[in-house]
Amino acid sequence: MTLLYTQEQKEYIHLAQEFGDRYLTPEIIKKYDLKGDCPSSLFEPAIKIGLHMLEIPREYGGAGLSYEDSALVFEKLAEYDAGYALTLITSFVALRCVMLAGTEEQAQRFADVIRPGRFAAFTMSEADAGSDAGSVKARAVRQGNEYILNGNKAFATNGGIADIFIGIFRTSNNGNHGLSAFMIDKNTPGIWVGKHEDKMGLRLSNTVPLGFKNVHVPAENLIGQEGRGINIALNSLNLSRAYVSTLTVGVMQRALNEAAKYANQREQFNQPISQFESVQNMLANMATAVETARLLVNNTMKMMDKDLSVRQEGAMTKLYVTDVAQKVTSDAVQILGGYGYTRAYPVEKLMRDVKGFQILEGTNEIQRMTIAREVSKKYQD
Amino acid sequence: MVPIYYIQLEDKNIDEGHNSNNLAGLDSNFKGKKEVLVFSNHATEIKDKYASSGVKTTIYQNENFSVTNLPAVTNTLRKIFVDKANSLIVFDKCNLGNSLGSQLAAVLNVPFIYNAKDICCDQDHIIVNQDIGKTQALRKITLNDKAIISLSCNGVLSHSKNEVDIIDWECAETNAAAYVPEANSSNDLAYAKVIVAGGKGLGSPDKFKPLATLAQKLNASVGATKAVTDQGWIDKNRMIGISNLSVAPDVYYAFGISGAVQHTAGMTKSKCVIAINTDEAAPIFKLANYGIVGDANQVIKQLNELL
Amino acid sequence: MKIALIAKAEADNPKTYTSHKNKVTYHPENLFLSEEDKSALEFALQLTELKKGTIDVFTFEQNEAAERILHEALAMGATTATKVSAGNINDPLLQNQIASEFVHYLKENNENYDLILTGKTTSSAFPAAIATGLGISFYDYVSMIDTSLNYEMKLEKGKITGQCVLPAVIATLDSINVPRLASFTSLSTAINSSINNVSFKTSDEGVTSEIVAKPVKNEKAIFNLDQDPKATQKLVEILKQNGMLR
Repeated sequence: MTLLYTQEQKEYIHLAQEFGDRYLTPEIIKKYDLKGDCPSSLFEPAIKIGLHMLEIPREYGGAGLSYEDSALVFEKLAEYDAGYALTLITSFVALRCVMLAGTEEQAQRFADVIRPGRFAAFTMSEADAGSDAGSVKARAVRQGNEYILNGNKAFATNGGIADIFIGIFRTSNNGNHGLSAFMIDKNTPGIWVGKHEDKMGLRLSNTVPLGFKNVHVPAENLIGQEGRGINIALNSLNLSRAYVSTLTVGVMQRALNEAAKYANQREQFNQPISQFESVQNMLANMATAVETARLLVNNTMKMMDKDLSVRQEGAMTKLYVTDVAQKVTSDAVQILGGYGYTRAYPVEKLMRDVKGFQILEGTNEIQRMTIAREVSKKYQD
Repeated sequence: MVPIYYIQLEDKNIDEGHNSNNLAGLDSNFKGKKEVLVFSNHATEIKDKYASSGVKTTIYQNENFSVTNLPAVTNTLRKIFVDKANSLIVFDKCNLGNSLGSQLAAVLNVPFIYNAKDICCDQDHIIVNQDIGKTQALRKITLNDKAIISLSCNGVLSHSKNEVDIIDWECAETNAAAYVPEANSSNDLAYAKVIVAGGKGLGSPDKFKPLATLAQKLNASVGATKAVTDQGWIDKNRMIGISNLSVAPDVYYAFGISGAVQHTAGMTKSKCVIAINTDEAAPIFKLANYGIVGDANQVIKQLNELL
Repeated sequence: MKIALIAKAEADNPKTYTSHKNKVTYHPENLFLSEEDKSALEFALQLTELKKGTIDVFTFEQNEAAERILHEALAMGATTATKVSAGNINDPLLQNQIASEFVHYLKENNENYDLILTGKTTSSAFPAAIATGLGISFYDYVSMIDTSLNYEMKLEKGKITGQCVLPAVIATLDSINVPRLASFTSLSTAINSSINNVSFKTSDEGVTSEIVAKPVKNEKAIFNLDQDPKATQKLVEILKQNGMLR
C-alpha cells in the first residue's frame, strides 16, 4: 500500500480488524444482508469499543481520533460491511453537525443521547425533494416557545433505530433559504416510523420514511437560526460525503482482495487465471483505482483536520471514488465468474453496496454541479 | 563426536512421555555414541521394547514414579548432566518433552532448541536448524557445548539388539497433580504420528495382513476407508473419515484409496500424504505430496522387502 | 497482587521473514501482540478485577513492534509498560543470559511479583529460566486456568490438573479464555502514554545464531510403477531424504 501509514494509524487499523474478524464474520453479514436488517445487538460490541463516537472529542465522551485516523478505521470496517459502518457514521456525523452549528448546551444534550449507545439520524429528503432540497415541503410553524412540525420524510438513514433526529423543516417560503434545522426526540408524540426500505445494497443500514403530525418541539431545539437549515445540511453533507468515500474505498479493497486471491487459485486451461492478460489488466486497473481513491480520501481528511473548506475537494473525492468503485466491484464479480454471480461468494454484495454510494449523500450529478460551480468561480474576473 | 542422550518416560498408568517413532529414528539421525535414558515405574515390562531399538538403554526404575512428577525427573537429569562434558540431550517434540527440555535447560544453563531439524554432527560441534514460524527463513544454530533439543522424526525399526540396564532410582514422592486422559486416548489411531491406510483398491481383506506388517515396520497405526469397514474387512473403529475419526499425523500413507471427500475430510490435516493408486486421475493425488501410480499390493510387498 | 506479563509478538505470521535468492529480509512492520499473550493478559485482568493488583508488562521485542505491543497491552488495561533492550529474545543461544539479567534486574529493584505470566507463542527456555533464577514454581502449557488458580496442563492424550502455588511463572496457551478488545479511547490514551525503557548489557563475545533462507525443496513427486520398475525404491529414497522416513 502506498499510503505511508503512521505507527498509530497501523495500531488503530489493527484494532478495527480484530473487531471485524471477531464480530462481523462472513456468515453473520451474509445472514443479515439476506434478511435486509440488522439487530441492535450487533452494534453493542462496536459501541463498547467506542466506534459510535470515534471522531468526537473526549469532552463529549468520544475517542477523539482525527478525521484522517478515523477514516482509516472506517475504511477497514467497510471491508466487512459498508452498511454497518454507515450506521455508526451517520450517528456521529449528526452530533458533529450540532457541535458545529448549535450551542454548547445543545451539543452536550445530543452527545448525552448517543454516548451510551443510542443512534442519531439526519432527515431532509422527501418524496418530492431529493437533489432539489429547495422543494422541501414539511413545515415547522412557530407557536409561542414551540415549533409544530408537520410533513413526511423519505429515505432517512438510521430513521428506524434512532433516538434523536436532526430534521430539516420549512419555516418560511423562500426556497432554499426558508429551511431550518431542529433536534427532535424520537419519543415526541406524533412521529411515525415507516417500513424499512427493501434496498438493493447497504442492507444492514436502516432506511425508512418518517412522518410528523403535529409534533411539538421546544424552541431551544432549533439549531442555529431560522433559515440556516440548508447551510447546516450542507455542512453535514460535507462530513458524511468524506466518510462515504472512505467506506467505498474499503469495499473496493475487499473486492480487490477477493478477486486477486481467487485469480491465483482458480485454474482453467491448466493454469491459474491470474496468468491471463485479460485478468491481469482487470486486477491492475482495480489496484490502481483503490490506491488513487485512498490517497484522495486521505488528503481530503487531512484538509478537514486543518479546518480547511472542502466544498470542492469533498465533492471531487465522493464523485471520483464512488464512480471508480462501480467498475472495481463489477470486475471483481467478472473475475469470480459464475461463482461470483451467486450469493455464495461475497463479491456480488460489494457491487450492490457501492451503487448506493453514487446516489446517497448527494448524487454524483449534484457533485459535478458543485465542482463546476467552484471551478467557474476561480476563473471569474 | 558429541554423545547423544535421548530421554523417555514410561509410566504404566499414564500413556504419555514416550514415542516409538523417535526411538526408531535415533540410529539413522545421529552418528557417534548414543544412549537412551528411560524413567519408569515398570521397567521389567518395557525392557524388551527397548532391547530392540539398536541403542544402549538405561532404565531408571522406581515404582512410585509418575509422569505428573516432572521435578523428580529434572532433578535426576541435572545431577547426571551437570558435570558431563559436551553432549546433546534430546527430548520428544511434544508438550511434555518441550516442557521437560526447557526446564532442564534452565537448571543446567544451556540452550534449548525446540523442534530441531537437519541436525549435522561433526567432530566437536553440532549444527541444527529451527523453523521460524511459517516463514521462509530458518535459524541456523551452532552448538559448541552442552545443549538440549526437542525433535520429531519418523524412523523405521531396525530390530537390532542392544543392552538394557535397569537401575533403581531415588524419587521423591510429590503431591497434588492428577492426570485426566482424553475421551478417546486409548485409540492409538487418533494420536498416531504415522498412519498406513488401506482402501477398496487393495482388493480383499487378507491384503490387510501385509499392510499390518508394513505398519509395524513404520511404527504406524492402521487406518481404513468407510468402503472397507462397511464390507467388514477390518474393524469399524479403524475408519478414517467424516463419520468416524479425524486424524492429523505427520505422515499418511494411502494405499488403494481413491480420495473421496468423505474420507479425505478426515485426513486433510496430515502434514505429508503419500498416495499409491492404479488410477493416476484419482483425487487423492491432488492431496498427495508423494506417490506412485501402480498396484498398491505390489508396492506394499516391495516396501516390506526394502525396509 | 503484583503481576508481570512478558509480552511477545505473534509467532505465526508467515510474512515476518521473506527470502529472495537466499537473502532474508525481516519485516517487523506487521507484528502485533500475540493471541497467547492477549489471553494471558486477559487472565491477569480478571485476577486484578477480583483482588486488587497491578499488571506490569515487559517486552523484549525490538524496534517498532515493541511499542505497538506495549500500546496494545496498555489499551487492554495493563498498568505500566516497559521495553527491555537486551539482545534477540528469539535466539536460543541468548535466552538463558537474558533471563538471568532480567532476574537480576527484578531483584535489584525489589520487584517481588506474585505471578509472572507469559503466552506460549513457541517453546523456549526463557520462562523456565526466569522461574529457576527466581527460585519459584513453573507451570507450563497451561490450557485452562481459573481465578482460584486451578489449572490444566495439556499433554498429548490428556491433561495434568492441579492448583498453582504462588509465586510462580505460568506459561499459558490461547485456549484459556477469549481476550477482551481494547477500546479506541484506551488505545488513543495508550499511544500517548509514556513507556519505560530498560537496557541490559548483552555480552558481545557470546555466539549468536544465524538467520538463513529456507532451501526450496521440491516437495511433490509422483512415480509410475508400470513405466519405472524402480518406482518404490525411488519413493523410499526421496522420503528418506526429505525426513519422512528416517
